[in-house]
Amino acid sequence: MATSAALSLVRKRTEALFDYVKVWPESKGALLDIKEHIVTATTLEKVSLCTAFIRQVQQRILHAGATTVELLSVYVNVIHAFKLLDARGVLLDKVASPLRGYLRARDDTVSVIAASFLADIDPEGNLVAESDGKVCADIAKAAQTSSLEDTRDDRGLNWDDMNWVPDPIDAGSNHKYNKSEDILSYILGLFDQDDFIKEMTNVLAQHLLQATDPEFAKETRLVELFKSRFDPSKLQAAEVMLKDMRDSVMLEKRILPRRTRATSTPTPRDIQAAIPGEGITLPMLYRQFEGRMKHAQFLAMVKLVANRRNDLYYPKRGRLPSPIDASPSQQGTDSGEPMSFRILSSFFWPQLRSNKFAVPDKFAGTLNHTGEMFSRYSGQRRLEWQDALGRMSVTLELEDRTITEPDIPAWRASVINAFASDELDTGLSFTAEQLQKKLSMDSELVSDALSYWSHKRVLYQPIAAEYAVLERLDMDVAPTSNTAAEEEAFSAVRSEDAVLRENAPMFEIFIANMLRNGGAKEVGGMMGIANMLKMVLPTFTYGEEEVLFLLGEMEGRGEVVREGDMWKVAT
Amino acid sequence: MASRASTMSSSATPSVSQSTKAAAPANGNVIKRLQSELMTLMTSPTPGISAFPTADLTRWNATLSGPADTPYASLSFKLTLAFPANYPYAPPEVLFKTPIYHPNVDMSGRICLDILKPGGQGKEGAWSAALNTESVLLSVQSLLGEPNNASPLNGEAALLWDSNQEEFKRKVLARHVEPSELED
Repeated sequence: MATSAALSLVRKRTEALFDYVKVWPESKGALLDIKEHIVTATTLEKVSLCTAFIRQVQQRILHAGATTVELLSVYVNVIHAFKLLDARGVLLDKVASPLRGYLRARDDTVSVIAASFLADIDPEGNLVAESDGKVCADIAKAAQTSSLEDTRDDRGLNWDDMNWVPDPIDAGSNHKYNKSEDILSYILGLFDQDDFIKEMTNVLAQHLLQATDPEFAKETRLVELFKSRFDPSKLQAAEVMLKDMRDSVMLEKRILPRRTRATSTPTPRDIQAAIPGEGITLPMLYRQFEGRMKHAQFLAMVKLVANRRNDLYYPKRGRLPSPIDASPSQQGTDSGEPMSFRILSSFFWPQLRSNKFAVPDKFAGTLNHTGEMFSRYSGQRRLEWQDALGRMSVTLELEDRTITEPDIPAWRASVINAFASDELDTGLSFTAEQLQKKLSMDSELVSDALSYWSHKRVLYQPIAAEYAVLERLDMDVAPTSNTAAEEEAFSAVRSEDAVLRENAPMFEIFIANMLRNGGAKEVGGMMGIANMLKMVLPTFTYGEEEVLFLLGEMEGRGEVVREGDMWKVAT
Repeated sequence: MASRASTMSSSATPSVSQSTKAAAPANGNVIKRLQSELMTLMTSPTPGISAFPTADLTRWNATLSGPADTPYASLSFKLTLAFPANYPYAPPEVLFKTPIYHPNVDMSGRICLDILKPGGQGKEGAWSAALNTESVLLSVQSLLGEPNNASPLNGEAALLWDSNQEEFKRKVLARHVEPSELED
């Protein structure tokens, strides 16, 4: 009687297993019921439990209607729940494989995971900023709580492990029992390491460019986390990116203080801050303070804060007493605009948006000057400004209102500046084409900026396709259309497609030469075109699909011909 | 032929001490160098010359077209290049795969050209690390129009070149096989 009651309970629980998993951890009790049963269950009964669950998963979630975030959070819950049922993960391996396969097939899985790792969550595990279905809170939580220790220990050999249990008898021969299996390793194990790191680097690059934390604590932690899980040498690019960020902050401190404080007399502290750790010559140092203090006064201060060795001055170790007036002296009336910059080592960063356009004159001077300062500090290296990555804060004073837009992309600032730069003529209006020419900016950026400012009701169209400044709100009666300006439609990191299209001519030359010299080839396979391209051209990181796209273009121009599965050069 | 073989072996001996030091760890550098050579070759192509690696990055196939106003005009030739582990400190081995009738090329496609022999002090070759795949192929291409009849590998061809250009051209065409026919 008791056994049949228990069996029917288990049957009921099994039927609703998916629901339990979905609401984990509230359903822990129900799962414990099943666990009780599993301890004594036969292999057959375990298999039927797994098949029942897999069927439920397939019906409920493995379809196009489920978002990737949903899928990932179910996946995380499955891991939690089945780890509870069976600590060694044998059952988990069985039920998770359809889910894993499905997740791998989705295009955006990697980017969702990557974004989740960098998302902000509060201590209760809720997302701080909801970011349009791109972040899975469960993963964010797992990433934040997981340890940085190298977890790839060999559990089977740890003789002090008092929780050790033998392998279950239904473990397959390929069951990997000596791998630590927390949530993170399951998530990271979904994909090929290289693919994942590449995607992760893209997301990290985007994130770093927008980060405000000067310590980059979170990003550093994340990279350390990956280093403990992946081959550390593959994370070189990520580390260089982090270092770039930190170096930029340092350099900013070194170059910018005297710009922002140019009016006040420098203190010994300022001079100390200006002396780089690797030493500097006296004339070089004085050039930074020229015009702000007399040479004799400067020399006295240098003596106070620097040691001299072989014509180079080094900062003294000891700290100076802090100045009595610690309040920041750079307010409003400074000669230069407050600005900050980031210096990226282009080789290690993903391809970034590199459109060039005319930045407002005011900034162009500052940028040039900073570039010169940079070359002075770092020898041979040269700066190239990425105009399109710049962000500016803009305050617009219109007749009836003042609009402040903090932190907008530079192209939007440039466009609105074009309306202001000429004489104060309210009738000033431009078409999109005129702006393109005036700012030598790409049309997509111009139209993005125009729709942004129209949406903000700063610009309006007095006649169709002509834009002018809306000085008073009552000048334009018809509310500008409700088309929401797509926020940040242009990500800083260029999409793979864009990079492919840009590099297509080069890739096609490679293919043509490969086929001319190597004879006819297939696209796929070890010796196929895709693999050969990857081998000789490290920047080619695409697959067979993209190769077929390139071949299609070449076939259209009559450069190659197709013979069955083989492609060869047209003769 | 015999004299050439002996110069090869004698010049190989002094280079051993050099190459054993450089060869093993240099492999990554060789690949890098070849990759960058390939990139230059692809981005600024020279008309009449084309080369591409096989599945092994140190073995390349190349295609040359015969220079105009020579008996080889409008013919195309396949070659292979094999780069040694201490490239560019030693020359690549270049062979004609297409049968060619030429004073400085023997029946198995070997080429007698000073820049293809190890250079440096005490060696008679003219190879230098400043040369690259493109310059090698250009030299081979110009060798077609200006054979070095002073040290022929194919004595008959050398004599014919000087005495009877028409007969020479006839022999060239008789021996030539277009690469597309060669593959089958």
